[in-house]
Amino acid sequence: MSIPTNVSSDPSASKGAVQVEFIDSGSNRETIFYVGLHQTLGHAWKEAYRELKEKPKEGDELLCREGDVSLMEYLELTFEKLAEKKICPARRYKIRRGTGGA
Amino acid sequence: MAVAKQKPVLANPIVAGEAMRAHLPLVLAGLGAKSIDEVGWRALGDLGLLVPVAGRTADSKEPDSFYLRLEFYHYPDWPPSAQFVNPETLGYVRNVDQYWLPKIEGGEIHVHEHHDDLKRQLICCSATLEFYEVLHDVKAEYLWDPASHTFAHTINQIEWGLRSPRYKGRFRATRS
Repeated sequence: MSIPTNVSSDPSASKGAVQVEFIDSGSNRETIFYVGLHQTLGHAWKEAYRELKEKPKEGDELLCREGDVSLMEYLELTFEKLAEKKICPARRYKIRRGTGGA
Repeated sequence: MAVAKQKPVLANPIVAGEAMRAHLPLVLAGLGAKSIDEVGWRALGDLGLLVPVAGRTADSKEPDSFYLRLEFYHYPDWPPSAQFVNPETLGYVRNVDQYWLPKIEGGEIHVHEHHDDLKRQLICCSATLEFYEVLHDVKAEYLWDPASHTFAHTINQIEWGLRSPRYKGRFRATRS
């Protein structure tokens, strides 16, 4: 299955929505759902917790699954802007759960 | 659910094995795989797994290979035991097998070659059994919770440490 790499190649984008995929690193449980192009990454992240029936915890971090790059500085961007800037274009995200230890 | 500063309790081995096997497809699916062979893992009896992992520093030309031995005798109420081992012996001998031990130095995960209470290495991280065995204190939000966590948490966090600037290379550069 090919993964859409930008909004324009994703058929759902023309209807104002894009598919997003989140995995919880605490369990490897995944959820896939659609969000509006004008919604922000931070909004989708909150929705992912709801879909996964999990709660956010201190130390959680949102990463792009391709390369495990942190997306924490982009939470306020809409999916339209994220696509323009080619940030995590496959829209496959990882919620990294923190741990204690030293 | 795990409790800070309390010794882990052994699980019924039948229950532990069932939980491990129940979680295995979910953990593998996150890696895009359906069998342990696809990801190069190896079963070690009914309650053990050998998981190859790789570390990379900023100036690495090739990744450093390590072998993580997970044991599930306290699972799922407590996380799996996690130890880096020599792949030939499947064990770790102090002052002999440091080549097979990664240096991870960070606030969320830190590898100690030897811990006096354990008498063995410690992957100091709230997603490993040994963290609780040494009665380490930890914030409530980081406690192992079997309602939320599977052993993916243990592997993912160790792999994250190995891919991050916290990874400083092997404890010893050459084999014994």
